[in-house]
Amino acid sequence: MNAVALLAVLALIVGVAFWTHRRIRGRVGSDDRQSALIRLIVLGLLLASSILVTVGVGGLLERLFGLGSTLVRRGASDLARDLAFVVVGGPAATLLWSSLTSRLRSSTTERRSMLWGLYLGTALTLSLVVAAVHAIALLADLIGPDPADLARNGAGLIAWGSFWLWHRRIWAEPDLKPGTLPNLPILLGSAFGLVVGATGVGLALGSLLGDAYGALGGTVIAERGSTLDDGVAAAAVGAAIWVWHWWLHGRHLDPRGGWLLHTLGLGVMGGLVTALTAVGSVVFALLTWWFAPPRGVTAATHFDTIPGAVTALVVGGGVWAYHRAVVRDPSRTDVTEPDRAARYLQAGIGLAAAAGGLGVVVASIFQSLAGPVATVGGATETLLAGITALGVGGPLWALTWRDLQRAAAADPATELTGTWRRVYLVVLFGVAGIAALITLLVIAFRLFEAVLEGTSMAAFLDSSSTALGILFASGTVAGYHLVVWRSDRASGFAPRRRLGTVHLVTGADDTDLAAAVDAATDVKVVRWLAADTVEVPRSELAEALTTIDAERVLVLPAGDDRVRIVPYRPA
Amino acid sequence: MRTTRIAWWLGAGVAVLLVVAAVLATRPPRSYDPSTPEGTVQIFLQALLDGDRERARELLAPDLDERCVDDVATGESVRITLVSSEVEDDVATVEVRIVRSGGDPPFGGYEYSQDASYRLERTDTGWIITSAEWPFPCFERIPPP
Repeated sequence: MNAVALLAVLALIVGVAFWTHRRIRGRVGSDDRQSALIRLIVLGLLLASSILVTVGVGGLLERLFGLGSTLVRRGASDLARDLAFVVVGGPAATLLWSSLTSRLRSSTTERRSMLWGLYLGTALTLSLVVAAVHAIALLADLIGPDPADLARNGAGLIAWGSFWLWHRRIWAEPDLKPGTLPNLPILLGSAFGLVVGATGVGLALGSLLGDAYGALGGTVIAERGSTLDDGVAAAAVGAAIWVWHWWLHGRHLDPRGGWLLHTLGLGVMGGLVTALTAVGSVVFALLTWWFAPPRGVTAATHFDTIPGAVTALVVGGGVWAYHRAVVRDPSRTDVTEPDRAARYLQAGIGLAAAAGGLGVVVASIFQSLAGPVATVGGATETLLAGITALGVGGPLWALTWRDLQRAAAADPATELTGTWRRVYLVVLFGVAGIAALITLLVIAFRLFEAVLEGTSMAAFLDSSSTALGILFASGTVAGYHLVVWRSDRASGFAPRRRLGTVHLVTGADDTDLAAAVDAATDVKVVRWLAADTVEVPRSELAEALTTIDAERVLVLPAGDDRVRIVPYRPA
Repeated sequence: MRTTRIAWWLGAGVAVLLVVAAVLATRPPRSYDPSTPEGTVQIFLQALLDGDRERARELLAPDLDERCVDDVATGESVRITLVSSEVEDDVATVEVRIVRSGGDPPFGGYEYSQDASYRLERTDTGWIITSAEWPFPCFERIPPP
């Protein structure tokens, strides 16, 4: 435990140092670089010492809780270690924290630094994960038949839970809240809660359905233990984490950047891929049972994947449906950007499955053409796997793509010039290009091998069948989308440059104006405060700049060979 | 729209491919003449894959190990293709490529292939296998001096 913790701390410090080094290299001015370095060292030491204290306190609590139940104990090196961690780490953390907190309260720059946001994100997520692991183990022991290891997991939960609560209070305090990456802990916590909760529900449901299936089909000969307790515990802990992070905070955040990555990458894509895989495995089991029944296998054994598949379908489908509803803003009648992104993502997932299936079908044709001398299972099973992927991915792609094309026909000016459509097409061409390059390489290698070694045409066809299948499928996909790309361009709607960021420079911090711009334009607003303006002739600009006491200035034309200097700072 | 029309054509093309693949996949493997070396190897391998040890045993030289016809039915899919066949007087060498696949299809399968060669000798009743590299390497016993 201590070796792992120390290694983790070391890796973290090295990682943060490397990242900061890259980050500050581009900036000018030694002050910036120096303060970033100081910040890095202070925050790295603070993280390390607070982890040490937490590990130490956890160990001491475990010893305290276990007093009544410990039978034999020999040696005191672990007690010595825990005491050392607390005695050295405690004062170090207190000292660092008191020096840091005054700087944070007094300086906006300090609060705005990327490192401070990263520190809180790392500390909160790390402690959340460790506390959750202890909480799940504790809960599973309490509801399960095994005797509970209350001392170990209770101590861990209290120590790491306190670590989390303390950082959480810092995060929520307006004077200390990071200006950069403020929502990193919220989004990471949401993702962690979702994964743990969904896995827990899956384990519990899968265990129940599996038992029911075993009882019905009589496939279980002997068994011991169950994943039900673990599943229920993980579901409860994951749900609590998710509700706090996502339901109370995350879902109200700005739907851009990390929010989009979470809802689309994890919610929509993770859920949909899980559900599709589940449907695929059921379809495949049915197809093989019908067309290529395996020898000597009873129906109950052949279909024993069904409880797992139903579980995955329910959990994955639920996760998908929820996040699909989240990106569809009900207060707006038009299609929002996150919604549009989700549709292209779904079309892409369906297309990937369908193209894979098509590749397998074509590969099986080449394998049959090669004329094998002997087979078992072989061609039929491969073909059925291909048909399954085609049958699952094809309809998903066709339906999603039909809707997208209809939307494009109805409002070409918005749809055809949208970012997500272009990203979708470019990613498709990229993937198809890579696939084509690799498969051509394989085919050429096999061909040369066959010619130089004088092997049969059949052996060449067979060994390059997979490559030929993938090449055919990626060629078909790329060909179709090339037509789409061309017809998009021929429509004459050139992509217009979109507003990315609005820099709002005002005399006093005008949050109302910022909110109004934000609501109307759907773009990021950066607020700045301008100080008193100086107007000088052009020729005196260089000299005037040296006298200005500000980190940033705007120089604007003021007519008649004069310029206006506007010093400004972050609001 | 033109793209919709193309999508329909592509769908029709995929359907045709499916039919072709289904027809080809259900076709029995091509039969080689049983009096040739490749025909002998084909019967031997298909017998092994079908679990018919007796039939496979008949095609082996009598002094070859029992292990040469060990069961290969492991639940994997196996596909064997002819790579080459050479005959020199009364001795022949047949090389095949064995592709085994299994795992958890449709999304988590594996596939790997290996080449194996068989040595055959002509007898009065036809060709017999005197050494095999698959499913287990087994070779003619050299008689003690």
